Amino acid sequence: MKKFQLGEFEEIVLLTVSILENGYGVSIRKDIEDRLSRTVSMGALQTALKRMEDKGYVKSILGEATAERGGKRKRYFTITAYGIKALTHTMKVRLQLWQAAPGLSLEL
Amino acid sequence: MKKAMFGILRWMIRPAYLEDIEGDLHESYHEWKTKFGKTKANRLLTIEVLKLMRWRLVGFKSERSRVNQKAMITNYFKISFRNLLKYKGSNSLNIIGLSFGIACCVLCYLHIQFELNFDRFNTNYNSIHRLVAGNPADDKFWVKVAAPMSPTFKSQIPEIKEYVRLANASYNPKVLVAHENNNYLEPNFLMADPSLFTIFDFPALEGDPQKSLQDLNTVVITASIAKKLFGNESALGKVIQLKDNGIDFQVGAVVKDTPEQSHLRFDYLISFENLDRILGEGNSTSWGAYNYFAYVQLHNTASVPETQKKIHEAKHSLPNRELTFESIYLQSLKDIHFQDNRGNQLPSYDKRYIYVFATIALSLLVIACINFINLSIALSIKRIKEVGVRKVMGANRSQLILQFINEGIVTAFISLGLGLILLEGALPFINSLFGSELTTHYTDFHFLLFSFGITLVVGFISGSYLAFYVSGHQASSILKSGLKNVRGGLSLQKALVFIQFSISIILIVCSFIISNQMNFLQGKNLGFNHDQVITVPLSSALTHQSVEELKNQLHQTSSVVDVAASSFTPGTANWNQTVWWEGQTDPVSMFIISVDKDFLRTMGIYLIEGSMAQIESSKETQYILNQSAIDLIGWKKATGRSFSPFGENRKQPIAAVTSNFNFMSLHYQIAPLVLVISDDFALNQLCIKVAGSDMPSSIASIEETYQQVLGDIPFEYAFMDDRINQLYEKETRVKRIVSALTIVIAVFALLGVYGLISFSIENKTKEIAIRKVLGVGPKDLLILISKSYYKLMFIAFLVAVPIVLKVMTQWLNNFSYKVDINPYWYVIAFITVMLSITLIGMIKFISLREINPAQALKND
Repeated sequence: MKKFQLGEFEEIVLLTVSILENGYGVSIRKDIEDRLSRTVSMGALQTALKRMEDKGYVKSILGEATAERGGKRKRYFTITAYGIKALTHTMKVRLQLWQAAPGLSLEL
Repeated sequence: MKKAMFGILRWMIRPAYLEDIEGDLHESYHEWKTKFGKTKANRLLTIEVLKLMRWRLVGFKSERSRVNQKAMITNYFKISFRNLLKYKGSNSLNIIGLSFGIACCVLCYLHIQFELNFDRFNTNYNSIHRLVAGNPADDKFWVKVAAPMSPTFKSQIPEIKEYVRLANASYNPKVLVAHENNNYLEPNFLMADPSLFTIFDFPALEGDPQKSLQDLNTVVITASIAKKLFGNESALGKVIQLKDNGIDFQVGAVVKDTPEQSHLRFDYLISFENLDRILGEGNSTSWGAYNYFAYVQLHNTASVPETQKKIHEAKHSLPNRELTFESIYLQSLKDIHFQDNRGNQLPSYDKRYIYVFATIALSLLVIACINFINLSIALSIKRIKEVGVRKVMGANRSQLILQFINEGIVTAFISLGLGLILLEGALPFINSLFGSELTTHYTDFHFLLFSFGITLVVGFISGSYLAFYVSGHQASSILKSGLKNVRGGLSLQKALVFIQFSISIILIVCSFIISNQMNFLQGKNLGFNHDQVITVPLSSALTHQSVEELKNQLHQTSSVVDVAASSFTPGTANWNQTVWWEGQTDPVSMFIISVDKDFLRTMGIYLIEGSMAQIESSKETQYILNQSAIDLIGWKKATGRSFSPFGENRKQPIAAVTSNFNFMSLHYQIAPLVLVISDDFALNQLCIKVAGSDMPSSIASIEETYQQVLGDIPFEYAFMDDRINQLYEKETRVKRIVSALTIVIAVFALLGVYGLISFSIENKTKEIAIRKVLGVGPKDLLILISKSYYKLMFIAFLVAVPIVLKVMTQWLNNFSYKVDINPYWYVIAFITVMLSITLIGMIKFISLREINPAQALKND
């Protein structure tokens, strides 16, 4: 269980990465903001992505440089198999907890 | 805006994140700009960059040098100590010089600190003001005012929170206090309002001082008086008598001794309500007797100029006229210690001396640094190979700089330790020499900050020149042939030595001039006889008869030549009255000294008009004027004309005119003076002219006579010469300080020259060797090496002359009687410095002789 530690924000970012094919900083941020109507700070997003890359949940490749990015290249993120495993693990844990709390599920 | 933000971003963000974030921001900015316009885009960008300041992202370029420097820094320390030990001679010279510099600097700091913190122990320091007559800004004011003024002001001016008045319990300098059968002559017996203890901070040890001062017959004493009078017993409830008036007081409280840094000093305090009882009826209600200290405490919110204005506008109605107070000013407690103030208990301190000492401290420090740099440059030649090897092993420039600065700081801190030990050892001596009360406070934050601060700065400056100088050379050239191109360094060294020469010459000439002026003051004919004269204070408890009796008895003592009673103390004429004379047009005030008939004869003062015999035989009140008073009035002949210092109704024909004599210090011209011979005024001291050379036995016989006549009143005496010398105490102190400094700085400068000549010899070994081979003798070599220093000294001399002239003319302007600045002193200073340089050259002569051409040239 301790193997897959995924914070709430990380989970959202990881799910968004898996939704978007070839997501990069700006597009991931925009997607989260659209879907969940919450603001995401760039710093938080980049640190989360970097951390998850270190853990091996996502992998990245550098893409093309464009003028509007000031000559900087895009870094595209894709989810890894390990990342998918982490996501399913997290979901399972949540489900178990939901089932253990029957009163709540009725309210839905 | 955009550029600046990205600049901040690049500087701030860790390199690992930078590219992604920068790209994203660029893209977002582009989008915001098309969507919202430039202004809003800029704002959003700013917010975004600000939000990026989070711990994980910020790196300030630190990732580049994540190498652990600890080992290297440890090594720097190790090498520092090894080098210190290896070159013991030069380094100890260096450290001694530096520790002297630091010690002197800390000493100056202590002195300045002491003077600036005067009266600051009072918690109400900022809101206490003294009422004075005359504007303190004009430097001509009197520090005491009339008794009813402060209560009147308090009732009319809401800004004044509290006031306190103080007065001496006698017009004499000392009063006679008796406890049981012991008598004491006490200088600081004061009357005060109880609010003294709420306005000022004088903590009580026993009893309630404030309550005691509300009672007419209670006295508050200080701890040291309690000890003196009652030993170790509790002082409370004991009874003392003020003999001058025969009034008993019971001790109601004991307070701590007044601090060294208080301008206000007291030993005994009784209630101010005693004023009329002790100094005579009418004093407490008189609007004309400006005899009392008055302090006011303002409310914290009050504005001083506003209060000042209200004082000037204040009015008080008397039956016959209305009083206004345009001449009364507020003098802030902050200024009391620094403004010239006739009538104060303590001499004032000229604030300009603070700048003088600060300059001295700074120049000492600069000189110490200069020496340090010079000597360590000379040393660095020996260490240049080490630098080369370090460079080869991969040390970059900043590391070498760090190493040398580190060495400088290590040496400076060793010097600080040594300097503080030195200071600690010398302080008692210094304190007795300069009459100061300085102590070091190792727990005082400012003291520590200062000492460590200057040490760091000195270490840094001293280390950094060498650091930048040595580290700038190429490794290959260093290792191949040592330091070659040292011209740049040498010219800087010369500039530094030049500064030292200038300062030394300035100080040498200044100390010449100062000691000449002091000798001049001491040797100046004052117009009266002060040799072999001793003064004995007289208690005001004595009657005229007993004084006469004492004088008669003393006349019969073999060692006494002559004796007179007077209220004359050299330099302290402070009885000033508006005088009247026949045909006067403008009111004029003159100084007044009350004397007896024997005074002129005893003091050897010449008469210009009138005769001594006539003065001595007359029984009337007599007024005797001095030459300067006659000049002021404009009379050719004065005797017989009507004159009175106390209003027309007490007029008398002038009895005689004396020649001018310096009754005040030589800072002042001789002012118009009236000597009054009258039984109405108390005479507070005897001047006794003593014969023979055996002073101790003469004094013993005088004391014996004194005790026979006056019984148990304590006998005190002083030499008039000493009293006169005390007038120049401040200047004497300056003289001592400047001479001490001259020695210190001259030694420093010579050290500097020594370092420089050593350096030249070291640097020019090969040149010297070749010259030797070609047959040049050591004497000519010495001239070759040292001639440039003579040149330097000559230029320094030219710079020093005008500076000395300016500074010393200003200093001498403090005196009305002064010496002229003699060109001859410059010559002496010049020769002294030149001889010293030659002397150092002589010392180095030996090392010149020891250069062996075969050794020096074998590698080439």
